[in-house]
Order: sequence, then structure tokens, then C-alpha cells
Amino acid sequence: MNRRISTLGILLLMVLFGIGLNRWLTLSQSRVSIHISTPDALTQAVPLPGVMYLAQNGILYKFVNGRFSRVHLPTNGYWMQPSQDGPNLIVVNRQLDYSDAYIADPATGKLQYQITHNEGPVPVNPNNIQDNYWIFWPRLIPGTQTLVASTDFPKNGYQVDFSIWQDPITHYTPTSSPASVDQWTIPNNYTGGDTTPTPLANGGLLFSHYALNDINGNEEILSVIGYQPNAPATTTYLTTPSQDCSQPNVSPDQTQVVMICTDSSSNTAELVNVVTAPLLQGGAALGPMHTVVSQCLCAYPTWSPDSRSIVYLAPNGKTGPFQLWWVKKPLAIHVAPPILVTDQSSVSVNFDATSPPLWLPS
Amino acid sequence: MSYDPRLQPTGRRVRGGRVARPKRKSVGRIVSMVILTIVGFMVSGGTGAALYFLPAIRTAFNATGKQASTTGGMGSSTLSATPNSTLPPPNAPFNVLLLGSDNDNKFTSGVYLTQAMILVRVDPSTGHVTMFSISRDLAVPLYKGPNDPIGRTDKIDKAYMFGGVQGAISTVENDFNVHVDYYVWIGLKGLVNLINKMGNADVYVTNSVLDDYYPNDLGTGNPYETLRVALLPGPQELDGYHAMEYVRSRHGDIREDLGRSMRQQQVLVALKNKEKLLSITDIPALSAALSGEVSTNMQLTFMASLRSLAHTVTPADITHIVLFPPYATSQVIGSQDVLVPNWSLILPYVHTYFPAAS
Repeated sequence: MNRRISTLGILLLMVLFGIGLNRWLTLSQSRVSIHISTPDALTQAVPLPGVMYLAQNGILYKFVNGRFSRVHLPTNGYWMQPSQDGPNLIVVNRQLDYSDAYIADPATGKLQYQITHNEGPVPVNPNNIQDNYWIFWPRLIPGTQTLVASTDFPKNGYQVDFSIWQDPITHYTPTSSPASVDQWTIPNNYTGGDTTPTPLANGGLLFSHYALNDINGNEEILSVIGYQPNAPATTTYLTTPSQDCSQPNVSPDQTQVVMICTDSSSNTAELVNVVTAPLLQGGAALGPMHTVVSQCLCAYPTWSPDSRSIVYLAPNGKTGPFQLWWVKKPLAIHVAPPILVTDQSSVSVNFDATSPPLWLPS
Repeated sequence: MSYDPRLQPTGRRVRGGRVARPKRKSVGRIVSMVILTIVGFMVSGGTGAALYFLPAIRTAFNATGKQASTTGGMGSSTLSATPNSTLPPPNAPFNVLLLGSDNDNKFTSGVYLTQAMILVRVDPSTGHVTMFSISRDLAVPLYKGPNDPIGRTDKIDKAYMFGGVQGAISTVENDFNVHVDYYVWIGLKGLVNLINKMGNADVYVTNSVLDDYYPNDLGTGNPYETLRVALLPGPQELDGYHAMEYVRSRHGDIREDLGRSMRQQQVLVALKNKEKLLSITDIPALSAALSGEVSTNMQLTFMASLRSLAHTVTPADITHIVLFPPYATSQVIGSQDVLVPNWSLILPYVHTYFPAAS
């Protein structure tokens, strides 16, 4: 009897072993299947000074004292690219095939005003952005209620490129009249156009301008940082095509720019450098470049409110979900290794790397 | 002879009413039991593992070790394939033709164009990789088999449509005078699934990709439906669908198909980087993702050996080739936008990276 029970027990153990091994294999799939959590589930983020807004998976999060909390915007669409409008935020709501800009109260998530109206109003107002247009990177020119943003207006058939336009925030209505004073930039056709408008305190503008270049016999579309004192005006290019710099962010004290540059002579850029440079002549020139972080998949470096440190978005390694990183003293001759702000062992956030962080004072 | 109650008929001595077995026999039985138990656990564990790896085994059986044939092309027929019969020796450099097809329901099953054609040379001894994108618009003489011309010059993306895998391989081999050792064919859905299962592709989007007429033909009832696409520039993580948009869109790129070719190479490199993070336990999920969407003449053992090589290849080890002017120039022939090859420039250029076959 005992022997039978033992035999049955061993047989049961064998079956359980087979099932267990199968389950273990299932559960031990690789690190690419990292569980992505919402930022507000993190408990150990490094506290940073001030208030920061970041986007993940279409939801906007506020980051204060090392804790993330959700900004309760309406659930319709994909929220991204926050910028400041006094106590409110200007945010982009991205839908499947268009986007619109809104003003929202970050405390309540309530929408205060719809800046662009891709879908309306009906009947269509020809002076509004209507029907299948994109608007991205909306920013107010400091001290004004003038909004600058990239839109794919105007376009012609297959030719769809971003250009940068300005208008009063309550009447953002780019028009294509030849003498328009609203249009900051004229993009190069079929390059994707001009992006990341960055208004300066003096009313000027930095932006990323894309053009076709011949690099070692390869036709590459590369970015240079453009500067204009006003719109419309002749563009001054602050970087060279071979440096391939984009995503400029100006320190609040208007003395430094941080950006990403591929500095690539190869025809397939894979990684970028985070680079700072002094902003000279009111934005019309840059001083010597200083590499802060080398060879990373870093996006949207952003200055702190006190203009002393920067954050950026990048995977922890060459690949993986995008985390928040902090460089305490980016202008030091020997920059200390960046600090991973969102460091968690078992779970990971994955911030939207096409949405620049917004970092404000407390 | 008196009865001794301590003796059993078998001669075993009884102590205290229990049978005392001869020591040697008892040890033998214990060993047998242990072996039996171990075998039982191995069989059980093996069954559990086999069930886990079943999708991989099924896909491996269906998709790998294929002979290239014209099956799949128009007027399908079976031709003996050259690639498998002349496989390179171990650790020798080899060439792989990567084929990506738009296999939505616009097309008869198996009769597809190849949206992507990338000839890759891998040198295991040096760890160097060369990626040569062959633009789909390149107008070349088409072949359906080795030295077996179809008799027409057309866009190279039709080689697969007319001659299946063998047609694509033969066209590349004959026109570029190179040897193709292996091929890998993948369909649209397969690529999307693969990227999703690999945890997305992390790429540096070089410039905005804006396309108001992107084919919205995956998972929609109408294969001619279009979608507005906006991929913003900069480093980012692309899931399968967005990576597909990145490698497939071409309307908004001044370089047209050549720009798309560069983006395809970028995503391949991004996937190579992701591959480093995979483990053997990911194989079933990847296999399930690729089920019916991939075929290759590589053997599983060979593919497994490539993993260790992929770990050592760095961006600096990869040479990217795209045929910009003057190697190929845009022209309209008939009603088609094509790239006309300048063979006197192309062949010497290509043969600096891919040895001439003859």
C-alpha cells in the first residue's frame, strides 16, 4: 500500500515537474518583454527640483518630489508635447490621422480652450486649420499670447512638410497668402519640413530645419539648427549639416542651448550625442559645442528651471523603454555620468520620446 | 529437514516478520528505481518543454531549410535551386538576400512584389556586415531561374512576382553577378508581428515622415484604403505598425524609394540590437508571430549560430550601401517611375563588397 502511494506520489511529481517546467519557460521569456508600468506606479524615482510634465502612452503625468501623478485630461486621443501658458498647459491631442492643440488646466485636467479645429467647426471656416492637418510642438512666444507651432499647412498632394507658423493663441489660423507675416519658415520640399520651434525671450526663434545633403556620396536628409529674429526673415544656420543637430532647448536664462547631434558621417545614424553650446548674439550664433552624453538614443534634452541641469529621455542601454535621465552639471568639463531618475528593477516606464519634457519651477 | 520459519521459499531470511533481501539485489532495485524516476522526470520535463517549443518546431519545419523555387510566383513551377547546393563552408563569408513583400489581399496568394530587397554579406571571421539595398524601382532584366531570362526588363520588385524566390535570387545573381547563399522572405504582417514580439524597434527617425497616402492595407477590408501618417523625428521606440510605416512610406521623401531603403536598413540594425536581449525562451513566441509569414533556406542550426555573431557586430562593423545617382537615375519609362542602373558604375562598386560570382 505504501509502495503504491509512493509510486503515485512520484508519478504526480513527474507530471507536476513537466507542467512546472512548461510554466517556467513561459514565465522566463526575455528582457524584451519588460513589464511597462505607468509612471504613477513607481515608488523610487529620484526627486528633482521643480515640476515636470511628461507623456507616456497618450497620458500626461506630473512629476513632483520624486512622485508621478496623472493629469486627468479627457480620455479621447493621445496627449503629448506639453508647454506652458501661465498656470495652464498647451497640449497636443493626437488622433489617428490628425492632431489639435488645446489649453488645459493641469490641476483638474479640464480643457479650457481648443486652439485648432481639425474636425470643425461646421460649416468649415477656411481660415481655420481644417480637415486632416497635423499640429505639433506648440509654444508661446515669451511674454505674448502668440503661439508658434509646426503644421503641415499648406500642402500639395504627396508633398506634405512641416512649416512653422505663428498666430494669436485664440485665433491660430495660418493662411497661405503670399504676403503672410504668420509663416516663420519655408521648408525644403519632401524633407518632412521644419520642426521643434523654440521661441527665445527676445522674440526670435530656434528650430530644426531639414535639407537633403550629400554625405560621402549618400543622399541624406539632415537637420541644422536655424535661427530667425522674427517672421518672416532670413534664416541663420547655427550648425552644419554634417553635425546633424535637432531638438534645440534654450536654458531659461537664455545663455545655453542643449540639443541632439548625430555628428554622423555614416548614412544610417543609430545613436546621437547630447550637446550644449553657449547661445550668443541673442541667438544668432552658438559658442563651442560641449558633448554631455555620447552615443545614446537620447531624445529631447531639456534645461532645468534654474538653467543648471538637464534631463532627457533614453533607454537604459542602447535599446529598450525610454526612461528619464538627469545630468546635474552638464557644463562641467568632465561631466559626471547621468542619473537614471526612473530606476526600477522589476518594472519600467516607457515615456513618449516624441514628447519633450516640460520642466517648470515649483 | 525441519521447517525454519525464518526462511522463505525464495531463501530470503525473515527478521521480525519482515523479509530481509539479499543486499546486492536490494541495491540493484534501488538503482533501477532511481534511474526509472530520473527517466520519468526527464520524459515529463521533456514533454513540458516540447509543448512549449511546439510552435517553434512547427515553424522551423514549415519555414526553414526551404529550397528556393518559383513556387509563389506567377505560373508557379518547381525549379531545382542553386543556393542550397552550394552552401559556403563553416565560418566562410556568405550572402543572404532579404526579401520583404507586400502580401496583403491586393495580391493573389504567393504572387507578390518585393517592397524590400537587401543583399547582406556577413563575414563571420571579421564580424563585418555589408547591407546593400536594391531599390525596388531599379529597372533590370528579370530572370526566373539561373541564366533563364524571362525576356523583359522591368522593376526588380517584379522578379519575385514572376518567379517566386528563385526568380528574385536569379535576377539578383545574374544582374549583379554575385552569388546568393541564403534567402529570407518575410511578409508585412510577419514583420509587424516580429517587431512587436521583439519589444519594438528603437530607432533614430532622421526626419519627419509625412504621408497622406500611406497604404492602410493591414487588417482593413479594403487593401486600397489610405491613411495619413506622421512619424516625428528623433530617437524613439516604434512598435510593429509604426516601424512598418517608417520602412514603407515613400511619398513624402525626396529620395523616394532610396530614402525608404535607408530606413529599412536602420530598422534591421535596430532589430539586431534587440536580438541581443532575446533568450531561447522567446523562440516560440517569435515563431508564432512569424507563422506563415516567413520562409528561408537557412537551417535552424545555422540560424542559431548567427546569434553569437550578431552579439559581436557593432554599428561600426556595418557598411550600408544604397544606389544613389550616378549609380542609378530616375526616369519615367512608359507610365512608370523607374531607376535606370548605370551598370558600368554599379558592378565595380558592388564587387568591392560582394565578390563577383564569375
